[in-house]
Amino acid sequence: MADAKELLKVENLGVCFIHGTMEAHALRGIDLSFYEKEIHGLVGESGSGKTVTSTCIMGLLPSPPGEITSGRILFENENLLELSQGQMRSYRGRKIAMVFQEPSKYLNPAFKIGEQITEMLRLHLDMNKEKARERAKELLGLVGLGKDGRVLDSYPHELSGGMKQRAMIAIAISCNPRFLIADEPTTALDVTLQLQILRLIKELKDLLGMGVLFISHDLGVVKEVADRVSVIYAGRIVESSTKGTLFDKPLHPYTKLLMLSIPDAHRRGQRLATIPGRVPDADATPSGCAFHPRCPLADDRCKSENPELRGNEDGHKVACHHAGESWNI
Amino acid sequence: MDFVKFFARRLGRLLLTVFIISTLVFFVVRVIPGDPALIIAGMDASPEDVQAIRVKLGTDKPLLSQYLVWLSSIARFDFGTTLISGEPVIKLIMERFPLTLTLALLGISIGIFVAVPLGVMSAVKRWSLWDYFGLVFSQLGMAIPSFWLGMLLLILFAVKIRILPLFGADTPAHFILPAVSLGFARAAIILRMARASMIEELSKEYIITARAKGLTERMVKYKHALKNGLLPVITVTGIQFGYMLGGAIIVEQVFSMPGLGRLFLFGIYQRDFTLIQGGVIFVAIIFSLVNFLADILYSIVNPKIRVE
Amino acid sequence: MEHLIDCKNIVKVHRGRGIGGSRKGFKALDGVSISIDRNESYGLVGESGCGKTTFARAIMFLDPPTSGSVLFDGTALEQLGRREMRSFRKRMQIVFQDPNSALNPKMSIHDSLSEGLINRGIEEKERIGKIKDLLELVGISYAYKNRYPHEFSGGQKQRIVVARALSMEPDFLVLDEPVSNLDVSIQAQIINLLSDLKRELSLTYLFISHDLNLVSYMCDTIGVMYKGKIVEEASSELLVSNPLHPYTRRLLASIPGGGMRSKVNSIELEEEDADILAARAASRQGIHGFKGCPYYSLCPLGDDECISSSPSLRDIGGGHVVSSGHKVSCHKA
Repeated sequence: MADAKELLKVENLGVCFIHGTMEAHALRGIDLSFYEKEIHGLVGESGSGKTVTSTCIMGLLPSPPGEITSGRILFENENLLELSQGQMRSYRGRKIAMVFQEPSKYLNPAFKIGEQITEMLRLHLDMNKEKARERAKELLGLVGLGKDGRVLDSYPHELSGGMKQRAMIAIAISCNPRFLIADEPTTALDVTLQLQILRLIKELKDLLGMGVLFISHDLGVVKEVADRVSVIYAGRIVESSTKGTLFDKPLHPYTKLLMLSIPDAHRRGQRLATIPGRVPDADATPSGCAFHPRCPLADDRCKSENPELRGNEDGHKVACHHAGESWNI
Repeated sequence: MDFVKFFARRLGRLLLTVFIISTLVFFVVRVIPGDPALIIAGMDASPEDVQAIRVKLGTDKPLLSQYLVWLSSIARFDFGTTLISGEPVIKLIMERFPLTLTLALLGISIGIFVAVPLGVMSAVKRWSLWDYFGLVFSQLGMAIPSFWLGMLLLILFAVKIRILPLFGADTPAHFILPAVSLGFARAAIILRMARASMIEELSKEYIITARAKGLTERMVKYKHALKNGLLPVITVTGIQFGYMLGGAIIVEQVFSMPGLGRLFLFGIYQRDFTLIQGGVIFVAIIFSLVNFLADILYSIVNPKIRVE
Repeated sequence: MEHLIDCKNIVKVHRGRGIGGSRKGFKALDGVSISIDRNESYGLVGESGCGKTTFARAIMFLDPPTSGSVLFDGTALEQLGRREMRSFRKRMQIVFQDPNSALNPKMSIHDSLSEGLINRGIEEKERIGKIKDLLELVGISYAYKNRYPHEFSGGQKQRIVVARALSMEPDFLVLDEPVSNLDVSIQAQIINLLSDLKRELSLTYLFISHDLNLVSYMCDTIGVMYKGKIVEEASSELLVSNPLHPYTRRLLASIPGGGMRSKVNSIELEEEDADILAARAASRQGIHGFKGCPYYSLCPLGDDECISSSPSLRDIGGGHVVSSGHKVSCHKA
């Protein structure tokens, strides 16, 4: 894994939303590295900055009110943040594609699936109508929607939820993108379908050699699909490592608590660990370590000094003054 | 398959509407006090004369058989003869209808070719000059009564500048001012709808998908959003067109045009109940038909409606 | 132990649309029978559209069943008049998934909570005390009583919804996906709260969820629902350690993270072959009024027996004197 080629790198990305005089710091300097053929899971609760991160990589941050205050996004020796809208547009869909949460909302209801795929092929790859249709048919086979291309002439409402998400994935991978962002792609699906879609994403990642940013609030889903995991809290990466290390030996108290708070049959009769309070709003991030008001290990230093994200020799990074310390749950 | 089913359902609904309206009109006319035979016969007629007229009108028969006769004649587009002149009502209506249809088509064209693009532009370039222009246009359209606008236009273009004719319907030029005064208010409503609907569509999630696909802003707005945004516009335009076909009584009166509106107005003045009755049914049928067509068009643009 | 609620053969047919409901009705619940003991927590699991919520609404007579009987604390609910039903309904409360739509945005939480208490004819003086107790019970400071729903977070709102349900002093609480809309770190808070309340107030729960992990943690007994039928029912431990129905196995195997996968035969893990499934779906459609097992078209074990007859829910301890309490409806179990 270590020698895999780095594909996309987010460095010290800061994003601020300005509403009148109120400033909401949605991202407060995050670093993320993505490698070829690797799924990088980004875990966090709502409002933690997951979606803002993906919006910035896509170059779709609405401005105003959003404003990038710091950092770079490096992809193929270019800083995506310095590209013009036109240049960025030629990356979107072509080299960096995205799959969204609710396929029923994110597919256009008025166009057939075939058209929603071929328009991209014709725009980005200059294919003619017939060739694009042929390729679209292949793509549908690839995502498990049948080899006969029946779905090409279906409207989204004629497909089930799982099929819609497969169609959405077919659209995203249509131009062989180098990098795929999947933003909670299975949250709206039933469990049995969820697993199928997760497997599909894994397969396609290997087949096409893509790097994948997989965003989720669900640790189980990330454990299922990701090779590398970063945990985001209040606009900062608090912990980042390969999946095995992170799930076996979490160092940040937030990560630990998240894991302990998930109910399952083995915990029957035990109380679940809870994290008191709730995720702070982006316009009222606590001083020092943003997690300190909810943290069982917090001391005075945590209140004033924001811990850096520091890595140990295995590449396991954590941003905590008390990393790895245990406490009485 | 879905489409055939949908078509059949909507056609059934159309026929049902026409049936209900026919029934309603029949009974309303019967319930309103005043015996038509008495009106026709005049004050001094003998009871025998009145009875003879009743037999001629068929109003001497039991209500149920009258109703059945009525329904069967409606099915044959036979609306009876007028009480005053004795001419077939359908003949009078068909003589006047082409003029009203022309007027309505011109009026709705203003709606379609001016208001829709303006509304869409307003939505796409929100709070721009376009948008303010559109908003002012729609405010005025809704605030100004069409007869007043008609008179204003007459004074300006036919009396002061004298580039357009004053009254009548003899040349194409005669249609310009009536069509404008008729279409203006309708266009305002259509513009509002187009703007609101486009704004809504532009905030939907699939727009984010379209952008994430790297489509040009043109494609995002004029392909993806527009096809969905036009849907409610089709319905509203259909309804507005139906109104106009029902006879623009006031505009026809202001411009002295011999259209349906004036025919019906005449019928009302004359207490010619078969004419009024025929007119109501005719307008109702046309109105339902236009809405039916709008629904079919809607289902072509948005196939989803077919299964709902 | 004595059953608090005993539902027998609940059927719910949603009438088709069209004039006179001419189109064929859809059978949302197909003869569901479950009973819940006092102070038990019964988990109903299944995927969206399987009939979980319809079932809850049916047995509470919010949307009465087409047929079947509900015995609540010894009283047959279907025989009650409207007024008696009202007094019974106070004893059964429901908490929905989305706390945002459950609370009236124009009412302060004090007013929201008062409503039910006024209904129960509780005097104002006593009411204030009750509201204070209720809020304390669910962990909301009484100082917030005059705030409106939008001033609370999702988790707090769900606490308030629970408090409102408790204001009727129910015996029986239906929890319909009560934490699905909440953030991960908040879910555990609400789950702990529900566990505490159950113990302190001796409540009986019907816990509806798509999340087998959560249900197996929370509940004593689990019923797995598929297409309006219970396909397997057992104690939590049994169901998770020895799932018998292929659908249950598939659900367990689908839990992301893989924690439950070891329990399941490898055969269920095979990605279904799309062609086989399509052929099955077609053969199923070919049979007019298919009488076979509803899971046939997705089942890796299905054979001719499964086409010809629909299995009924049977106790696998059958034949022995003591019932194992493990019921399954599958020819191949």
